[in-house]
Amino acid sequence: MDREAAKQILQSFAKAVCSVFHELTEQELAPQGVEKAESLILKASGAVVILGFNGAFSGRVLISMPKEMASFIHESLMDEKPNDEDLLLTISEFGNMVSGNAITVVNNIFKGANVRLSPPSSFVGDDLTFFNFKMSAFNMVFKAQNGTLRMNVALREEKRE
Amino acid sequence: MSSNLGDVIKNILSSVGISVSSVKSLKEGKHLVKTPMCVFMGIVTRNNERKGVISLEFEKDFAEVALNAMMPGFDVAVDSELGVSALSELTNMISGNVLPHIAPNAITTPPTTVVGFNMAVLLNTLPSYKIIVDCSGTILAIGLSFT
Repeated sequence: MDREAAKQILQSFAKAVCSVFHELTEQELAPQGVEKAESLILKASGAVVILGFNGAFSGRVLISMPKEMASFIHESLMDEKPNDEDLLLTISEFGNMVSGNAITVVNNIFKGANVRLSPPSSFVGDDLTFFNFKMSAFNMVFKAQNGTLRMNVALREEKRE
Repeated sequence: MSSNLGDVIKNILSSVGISVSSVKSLKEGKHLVKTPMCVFMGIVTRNNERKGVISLEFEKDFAEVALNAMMPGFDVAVDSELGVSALSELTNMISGNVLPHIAPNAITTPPTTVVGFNMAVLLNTLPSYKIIVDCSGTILAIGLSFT
């Protein structure tokens, strides 16, 4: 994939996750940097959401956070303690908002790219292992008061439609 | 539709050497996963009117049967990169053949494989159709949720 396009997509996701987190919790999310993922394998514990996208660019975004952080987001919205099912729905909605914001920006930058999002899929558990093949992935880390949020964006370029 | 899809899936599995004993289908309120291994991909349409998720949900026994059939003579661990890559390819084959029967203009997002024990999984909040394939006592579930 073109480096400039990849950079724009990563920046869109980074800005979107900070903006949505602040909008929901009124807390800041501090970016700690971005690095190219060396492995096809990604390990995570806590709450995880994945959304795929396709169009001129295809790939998927994975956001993971500790259960405590997902609970905090839920409590900011609902004012009640969540169970695991609530956490699945909360992290799904969070991922959907982040990706929706980011992909709107991407579609505005790359006119005609027509990138579309799949529904969010969410996971809660310990020692979860995710595999992705034939894609370039980038890790981003964000710090908040109540933990560390990690975002992994994997990209594969498709032909323009 | 589900009997058609059952036949399609049966044919694909047969083509890679997996013999199917029986196929049944059921509908669930949400697209949940209860197996320790799952390969899934998003479905989107070019006009963005419909979207969904397709999944292959593997019991460990079935994954071993599938890998033995796909790579006879090789001892491939289910959760190794090679094993996961092969099962991911099986998912591509099945989704590629199933989707034209459901939404001819649909395209898929790249597949993701997840392995985890005691995990809670919600692939989609929409109702899902599950096609349960029995291969000599081992089970593969193909889940589909689509607007």
